[in-house]
Amino acid sequence: MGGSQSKYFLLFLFLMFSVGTAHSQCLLSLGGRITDSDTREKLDGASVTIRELALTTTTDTTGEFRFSGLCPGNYTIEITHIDCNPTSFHIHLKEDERHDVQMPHKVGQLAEVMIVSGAKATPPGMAEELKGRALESLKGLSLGEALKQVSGVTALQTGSNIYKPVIHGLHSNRVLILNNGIRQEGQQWGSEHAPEIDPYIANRITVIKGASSIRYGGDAIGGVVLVEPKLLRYVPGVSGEMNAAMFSNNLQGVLSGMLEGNSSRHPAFAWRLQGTAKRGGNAKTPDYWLANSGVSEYNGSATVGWRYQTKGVEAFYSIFNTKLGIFSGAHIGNVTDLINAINSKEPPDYIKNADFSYVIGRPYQQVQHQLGKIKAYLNTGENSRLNLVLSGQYNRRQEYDIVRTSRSSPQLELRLLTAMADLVWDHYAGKYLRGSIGATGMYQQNSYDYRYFIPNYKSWNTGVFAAEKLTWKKWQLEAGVRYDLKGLYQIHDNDQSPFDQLTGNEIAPGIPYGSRNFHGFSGNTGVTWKWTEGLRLSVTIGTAWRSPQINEIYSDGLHHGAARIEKGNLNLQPERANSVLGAVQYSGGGWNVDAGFYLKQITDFIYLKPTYPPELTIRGAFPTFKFEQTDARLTGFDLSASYLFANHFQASTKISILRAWDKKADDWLIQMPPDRGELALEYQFSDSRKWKQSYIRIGGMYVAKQSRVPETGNIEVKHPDGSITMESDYLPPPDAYFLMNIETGTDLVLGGRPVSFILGVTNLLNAKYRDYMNAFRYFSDETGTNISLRVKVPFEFQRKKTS
Amino acid sequence: MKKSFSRLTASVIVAGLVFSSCNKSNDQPGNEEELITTLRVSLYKSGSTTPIVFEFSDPDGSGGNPPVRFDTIKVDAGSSYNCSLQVLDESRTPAVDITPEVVAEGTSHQFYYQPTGVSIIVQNLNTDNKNYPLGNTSTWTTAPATEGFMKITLKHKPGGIKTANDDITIGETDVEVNFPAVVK
Repeated sequence: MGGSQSKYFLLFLFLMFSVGTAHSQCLLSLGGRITDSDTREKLDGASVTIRELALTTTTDTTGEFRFSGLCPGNYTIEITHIDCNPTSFHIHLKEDERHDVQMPHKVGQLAEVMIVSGAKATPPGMAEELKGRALESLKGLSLGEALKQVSGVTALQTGSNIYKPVIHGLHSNRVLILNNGIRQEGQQWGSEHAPEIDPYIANRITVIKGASSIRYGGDAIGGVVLVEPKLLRYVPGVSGEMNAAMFSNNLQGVLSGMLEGNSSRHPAFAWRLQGTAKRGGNAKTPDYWLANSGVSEYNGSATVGWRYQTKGVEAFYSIFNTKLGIFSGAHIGNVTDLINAINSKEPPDYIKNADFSYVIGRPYQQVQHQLGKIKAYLNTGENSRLNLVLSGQYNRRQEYDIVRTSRSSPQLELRLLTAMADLVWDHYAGKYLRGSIGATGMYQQNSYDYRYFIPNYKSWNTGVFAAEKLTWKKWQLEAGVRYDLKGLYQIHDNDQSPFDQLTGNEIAPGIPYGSRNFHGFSGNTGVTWKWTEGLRLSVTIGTAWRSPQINEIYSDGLHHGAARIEKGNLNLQPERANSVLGAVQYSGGGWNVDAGFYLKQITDFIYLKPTYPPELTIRGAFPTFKFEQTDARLTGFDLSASYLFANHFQASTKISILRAWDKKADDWLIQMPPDRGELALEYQFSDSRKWKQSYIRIGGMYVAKQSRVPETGNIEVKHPDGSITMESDYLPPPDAYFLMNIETGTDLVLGGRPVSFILGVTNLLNAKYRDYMNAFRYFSDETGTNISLRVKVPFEFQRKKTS
Repeated sequence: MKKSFSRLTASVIVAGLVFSSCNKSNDQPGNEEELITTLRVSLYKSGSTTPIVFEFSDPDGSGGNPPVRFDTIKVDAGSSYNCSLQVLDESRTPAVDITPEVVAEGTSHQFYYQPTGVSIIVQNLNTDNKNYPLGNTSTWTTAPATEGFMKITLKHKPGGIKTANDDITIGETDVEVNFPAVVK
């Protein structure tokens, strides 16, 4: 791989361009064209401001703007348009310059992003977007790993390739993931079940921390992740892009392509095809390869849409297929094996000596997710729109364990089928009020084969909601309310024997696998005050509830990798989270600050409570955990700030702090992400005619040791001096660690289109460390240095050349 | 066009749902394969053809109900026994004897005997195709009366990691039963 070579080449080029000659006269001009990034329409009437000079102009009907008589220097350009989210960029002006800007569309997203409510969809501070460059530089990673870039978001890891997003310490079914506007209904039960989504579908990933989703269900008490593709192309022509990403650590290659089009003969019809292939081999820690940690993935999607003046319809289908190797050294049979693995501190030689390989053997997971969606809308008058969304999802998860005899069948298979229908009316009442009212329905069924993990079941859910937003002078007031009814029924296992054979004494006689119904309200209200142009303050209070999930009620068995038995609890009731979020957003004078504070009180918080004594099995005794409820308090602080120095330099920092307290036990909650902070320094090069948006950034991340864990538990830990204590974990949390990374990128204009290159190195110093949030921290180190190169080539075919 | 298309896709989605829901394969094996629920120790006192049998049995597998049988191994002092081990899956009816499978895959399995506090000496483990110890049969020699434990472990050592005198830490544990044991 020529990774390091191209790095030096790029560095060399950067150095050349930064040696520019400064003009001393104020004769420069800055112009450009503003287009809607989603619809590609030229935006008329966008307001363009140079903040430092307080100069404002508006675009003409062709979307063009122009300033002249400017002095050389650094400027911040801010652009606003009624249909779009405001955007800004920094520019170092030293010669006449054109800067075309694409603005993300707002109105079309209104319904999709109705979180608290309103068009500025989210309160400041508690929402963070990954888009543009920030998203480009994460391409090729899995969704869960990419989301770690967002402050307050961590990942629950299982080895080197399974990442599950954790928002403010909460995960799995407390985090809602919306894939192209549809609630992702995958196998959320286990911590080793990663979201089944191809991140290449998205041109924007938004994380809404804390606030629950009024539109998609109040159960997301941790947060919401929106994976949004850009809107279809409704201007004539065919265009697309090719993405390639290469990673040195596991010799992973990713290729993703997208093609979309529209013709002038059928201007109302647009289409898009997209596909991704990914193949990675064994990952490497600083000292050894992680045997059997390969990954392969094949994904595709197709979208077609018709759009007319007052109505439109869009159909979307996607398929996601992945095969994930599970590190051989983490496959253990019982507690003795786990203690051996912990005591030896490193994997045994026969695993450590494994070489690089793309072959994925047992144990591995194979997961398929299909999603079909039809969305239709009809404008009901000048200022309102009726949306109907129908969707179906099919998720199949197969887990292949190490077996004695050669078998082709998996040892666990779960099939989850979901159908949903949403009817939503978006309306704008005059200038000040806008909102959504809607109803949703869902039907779901799960079936399994082989090993028992969760029973077969069916479930349904209906909900109604309303959310409104009032904008008045410097104030924004938002409020939303939702009511849900849900039920679980036809719950049974595949065993022919009596029910209590499986769940033992946990089931009271007479009601084995009975139906369960739940209902409840959730609501949010928030106020935002724009103190000055650059300073916004907001406070949001919310209440949300989540019904116990099927695994929390009915799971009963051994988790091999974790060497413990987990037992469901029939008596679980829904948990309720009441939260207060405060946020401050400031921009000005080179500063950009987003700070958010949260306090979340969760009553009847469902968690795994250690029980004693351990349960005896044919593999020896295992510590046993049972799903119980307590009252929890989560408080925390997320900060994301950057400061732009005069000379191209930008310093940025991110800090996340979380305190998770079990109020009943009067102790810390287990398995919560430790505090962390990041610092980065970026140098932004001046654009030249050929090289745009070039930058180089060096950063470091510090993750503290999690010292806040429960004091005692149900796990007997034998110390070197022979004494035995009862701990909450087999191993205390790993030490703090510090990782360095470096990244450089540029857009090289070739044939009028920017070809983007990003070269990055993570874990630059090849640090040896373990992470508390990785379930395999008992068995192996984290991966070492990883050099990546990402290339994006956009292309366009046009019948007639404009201009 | 729009209408006909949406009707078409709608019917495709509905058809897909119907298909998948019909597709429920309840006729497939519903239980975990390769489950071991029972370890049976049969001891033949020298000269005898009727064994004394000791068992650990948890027919519903890990979790669920506690084991239904967990015997104390009782042997006579100053005697010798031929020991034969069996691993069974008693979650099925009739119970499945998994021992032949383990023996057939002998080069990736090994039984270990770890007596503690009890005067039993285990020797003469039978061997696999490569002449490495396998241990589903063995001979036990007892000394004076003592009380303690006899831990019997079955290790799975796939992928050619088994060698002549492997440590018990090599591989993954399939069975680990620490029988209380009495020599009297």
